[in-house]
Amino acid sequence: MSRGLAVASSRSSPPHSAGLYRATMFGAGAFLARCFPLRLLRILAGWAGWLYALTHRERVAVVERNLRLLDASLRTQAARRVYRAFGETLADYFYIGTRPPEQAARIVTKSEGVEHFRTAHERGKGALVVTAHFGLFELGGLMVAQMGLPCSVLTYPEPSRALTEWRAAFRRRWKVDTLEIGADSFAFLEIAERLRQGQFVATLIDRPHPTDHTPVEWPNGPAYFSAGILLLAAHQGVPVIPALIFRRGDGTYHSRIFPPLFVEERGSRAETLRFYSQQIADTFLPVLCAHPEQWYQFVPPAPSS
Amino acid sequence: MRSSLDKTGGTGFFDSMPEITLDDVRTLLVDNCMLRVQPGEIEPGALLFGPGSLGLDSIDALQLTVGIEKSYGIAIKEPAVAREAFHSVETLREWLNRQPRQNSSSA
Repeated sequence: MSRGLAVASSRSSPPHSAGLYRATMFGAGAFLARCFPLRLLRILAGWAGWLYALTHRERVAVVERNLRLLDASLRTQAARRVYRAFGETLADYFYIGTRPPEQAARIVTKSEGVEHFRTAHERGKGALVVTAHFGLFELGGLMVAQMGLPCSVLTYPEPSRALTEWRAAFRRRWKVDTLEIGADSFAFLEIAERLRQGQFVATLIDRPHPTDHTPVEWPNGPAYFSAGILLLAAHQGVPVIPALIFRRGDGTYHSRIFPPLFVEERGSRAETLRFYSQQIADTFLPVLCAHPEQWYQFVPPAPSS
Repeated sequence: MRSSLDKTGGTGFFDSMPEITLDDVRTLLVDNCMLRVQPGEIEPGALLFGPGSLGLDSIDALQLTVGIEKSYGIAIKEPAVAREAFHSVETLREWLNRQPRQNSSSA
């Protein structure tokens, strides 16, 4: 049952090493991205991710359990590959953040469903873009901004003020705004206002939050989405557009924007959230199964775990 | 905003609006929030959010604002306004009665 609205949370159960998840480390990453070619950077970051996985068995075990929700045959090696892929994704993240937006956007070489963004924009209202901790999801904001559409990314405060500001400044270079949502029960009013203004508001949905967790079924077991924000989309009359951006074999990216959902009341609040969360999960599933190494699901699937 | 003159005998538009009662607010809360109490059990001074309160959360707040707009035509757009109005059952009632209303389907 959902008991609160959560967005883009990485704080509900920190999936990262506190020592690495700091503004100074992000700054160092951006510095390296300016000094080294992307190919070399990816190799180094991939090795670093692999090494991290070898030395953090408990974290790898969590990822392995999550992967098995998608495919029971996936084992520890697959979970380690997630960390290697995550390292490579970080290399791409720093690379695109240190290049002009037009150049950075060229890393996306295949797009499907862009018309769903345009159609939503033509309606004159905004849209809620929901994505997963999958691939390089930050690219979504850049894509939307490059289309000339106003975009905000919802996020919780990072572990430090400096990191929050660092990441917000990072997005601002792409003309993507960051809307930080704290513990304020009325933060949704600010989100609603942006939707009314016609903004595209992007959020991550595939992790549970202590106060916002709607059950969904993956092929081999349940997990939870923080889906409360779907109700806001319903009340504002804006479409919910699921989207994923993931790395292709040649190192460029593929964006898939799925047909919009229009959230309507389906019984109780919990039933409504469950229905639409499952629809989003079902939409994401084939892509996640095709690229499980890019599902950066570093937290347990249930909020109480 | 409804002025004190309106409350004390003015003959303006707002005088035609029925007063929103405590029971109206209680019903509003039970209808829109995930409360496991009957309307009559809600004390006027009960806080809506936080420790020792009715325990509403952000989705309750969202539902409540939508319910208020549907019932009374009162839109709440500012977080600061919402924080003040939604402090307790009684502050909500008082605040609602100070607002201009476009319709009153449940009042």
